[in-house]
Amino acid sequence: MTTTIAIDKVGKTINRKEIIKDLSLTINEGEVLGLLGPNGAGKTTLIRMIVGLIDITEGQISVCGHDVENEHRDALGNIGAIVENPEMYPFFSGQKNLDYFARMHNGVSKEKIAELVDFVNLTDRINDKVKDYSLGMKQRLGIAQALMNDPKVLILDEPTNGLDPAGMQELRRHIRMLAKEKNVTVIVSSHLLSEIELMCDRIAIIKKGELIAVENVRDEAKQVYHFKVSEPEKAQVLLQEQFDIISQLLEDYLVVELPAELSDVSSLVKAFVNNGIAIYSVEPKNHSLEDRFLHLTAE
Amino acid sequence: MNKSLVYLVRKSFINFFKKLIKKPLKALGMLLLVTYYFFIPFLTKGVITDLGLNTHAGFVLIASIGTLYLTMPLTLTYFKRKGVSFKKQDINFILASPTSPKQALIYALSKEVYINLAMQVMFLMAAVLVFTVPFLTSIIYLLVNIVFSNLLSYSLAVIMYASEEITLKQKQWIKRIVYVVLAMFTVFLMTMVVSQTLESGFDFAYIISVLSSPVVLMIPIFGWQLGWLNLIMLGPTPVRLIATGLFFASAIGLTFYAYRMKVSGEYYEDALSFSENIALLESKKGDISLTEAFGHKKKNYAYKGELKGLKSNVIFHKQFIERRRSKKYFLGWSDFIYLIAGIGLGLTSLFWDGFIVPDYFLEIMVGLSIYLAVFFRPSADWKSEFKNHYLFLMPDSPLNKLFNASLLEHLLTFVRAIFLVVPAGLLMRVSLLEILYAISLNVLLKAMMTYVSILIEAIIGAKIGHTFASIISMVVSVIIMIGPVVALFFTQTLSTFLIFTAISLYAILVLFLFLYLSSINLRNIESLEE
Repeated sequence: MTTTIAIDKVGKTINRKEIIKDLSLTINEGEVLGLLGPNGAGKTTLIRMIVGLIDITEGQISVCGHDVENEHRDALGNIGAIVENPEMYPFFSGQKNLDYFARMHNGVSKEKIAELVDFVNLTDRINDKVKDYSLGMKQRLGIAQALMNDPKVLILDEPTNGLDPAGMQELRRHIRMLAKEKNVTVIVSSHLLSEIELMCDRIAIIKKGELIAVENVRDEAKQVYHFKVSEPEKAQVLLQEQFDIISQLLEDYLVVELPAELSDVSSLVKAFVNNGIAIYSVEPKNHSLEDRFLHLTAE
Repeated sequence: MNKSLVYLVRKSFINFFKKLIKKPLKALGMLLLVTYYFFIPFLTKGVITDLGLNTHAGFVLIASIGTLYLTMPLTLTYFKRKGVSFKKQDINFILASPTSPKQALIYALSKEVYINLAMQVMFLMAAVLVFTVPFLTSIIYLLVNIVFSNLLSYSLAVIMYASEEITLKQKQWIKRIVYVVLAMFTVFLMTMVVSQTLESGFDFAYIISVLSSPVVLMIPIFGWQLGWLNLIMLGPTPVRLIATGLFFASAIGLTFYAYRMKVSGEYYEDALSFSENIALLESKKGDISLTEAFGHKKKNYAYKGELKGLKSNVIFHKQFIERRRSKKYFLGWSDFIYLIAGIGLGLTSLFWDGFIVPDYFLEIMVGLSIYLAVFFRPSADWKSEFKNHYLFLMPDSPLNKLFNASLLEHLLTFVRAIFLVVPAGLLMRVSLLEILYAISLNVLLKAMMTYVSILIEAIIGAKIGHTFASIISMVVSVIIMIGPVVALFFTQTLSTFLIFTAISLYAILVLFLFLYLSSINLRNIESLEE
């Protein structure tokens, strides 16, 4: 798998405050990565560093083999991005805005622009002035603008802002298509965990400027069970000694994450019973992305 | 006043100084600015002395003109519910809280107290050191002004801004009457001055005598204030004593009226609208047009131009379209001032022998170009391009982006140079070559200063504070212009072509140096962030 974006020990300090600390991450070709984190975690700062909008204090970022700082133009030529709200010229029509951005890229055909307008469902309103657009329409126009130069890397900061459910679904479908059929690498930053779950292959969770987890979205290998037992502490020790499982004791039940090699929970039940630990209940839990996110970002 | 407002005023004052301590360069810039402000009277001392106005009467003349033509019209703006500074924070925390609307208004007015005090101290210094008014007289004048003038101006502000009894129509009539009276008085004054000048030559004494006449001193409120000024500076007369008495009485009476006046907060909507305008102007960080500064919205015209150009060049074409939308015929009224100036110079040369000599055409034009380049800031259109972060995502060099973002400015300079130079040159009957030299040098010198200003005021200024950066920019500009100025001294001994070439090459070198330095510092959005 080819690495498209390599983030190597990157740090960012602003006014003597460390916003990003020693962050390393690689993103592969054709992958859709979700960037998650609480407000103020550093997601937008990281995105801004990747596209070269702000300096990198420490470390290095390369996009398609080009260093973002030293080979900025070559790196930028491979990137399409929406960073914060798309900034369009309000007195220009949507068409003229796209034409303006197309000319900046030197060689985007009128047919390509028409195709993008159709994709973002703005054909009926494309000749209206942007100042008359709703937020959702401006967002869709921004997506069209980001895709204009057929980028190898697409970076979308909160792309579903202002989109209705149909719009979100359409965007999701297109992002998956870009990644799978055209091998475009996509980074999506969002607060909508349900959307990330449907759209992304992997998630990277940032908290207080540090990368705290990188996981596959659909990690079917892990199953979680809640055990209510008579002697939870004894059960915890048993799990660790016999199965090398570290469980969590929450109030009056044990949270146990089954490792991949254990196909079902029966062996744990048998071990508890054989060691004199009474079992009151065993409950399988779907550990959703939201659960994992809240668990990882909890103080 | 409400305890919380007193606390707010006290804390704001302390925090202002705490902020300055954290930003020593900004503090230094402010100190230089304040020092410059207090030195203004001394800067004009030479002119005042040459004109024979460095007397008590001269002080009365200038103060009277200021009162009638500045203070009075500015006070009338309170009727339109402008002139009182409400910020969004004030709306959020004060107007939305259980604070008396009158006290909230007085709080907003109190923000100007420091400026008013500084102005009164400046007048004191001017009176003593420039107009040779005795120190004791000046102190008495200052102290009485601090009490009565301030009482009068604040009570007028409260009455005019917040009165719910004076209808809109009545306010409009009051304003109209005041302006008509002022216009009639001005015509009368000008007629008197012109006729006296034609009869026996110009003398400021006519103007002083008119401004100190009972007609003026009996103008309600503002005239009575002048009565007090005339009394203390020029001595007592019955009219001056009556006017002074009326001044004190009106100050106390209006203060009492303002105190008793019912204010229920009808002005809140206008205050909210004003705060939104202030927020918008502040967000532009000083890069505003004159019309915006006066609170007028920009008018736009329909223009269906097509975008042209590729890569960064499209920025220039976009700006061209924007310009055609805001100025119907591309040029604005301010551009035609150059044409008027050019014609004026030509006619002066024709009809005023020896004042403007055609032999010095190039020196005059280059001198004017230097003055315009140094003292007139470039337009901020380039900056608005760089505020859009999508510009930084476009794959082109920062140098191309900056050059194309400022190209329209150079085009306008070229047009203005034609307006200034061609009529003057034709009327002075200079050669076509000299006209072309003058136009070229005007454009090059202005372009050079544009990039100097961009580097120092905008880029470096974002880091060290704009006030301080403006001062540095002025100093650097003057130093840079030494070269062209020195070159001009040789126009009578060396060929014009040589001088033109020398100045052009110098300007091009400096231009590209500052363009390059500016562009390498405009890599990303952090360059212009404060």
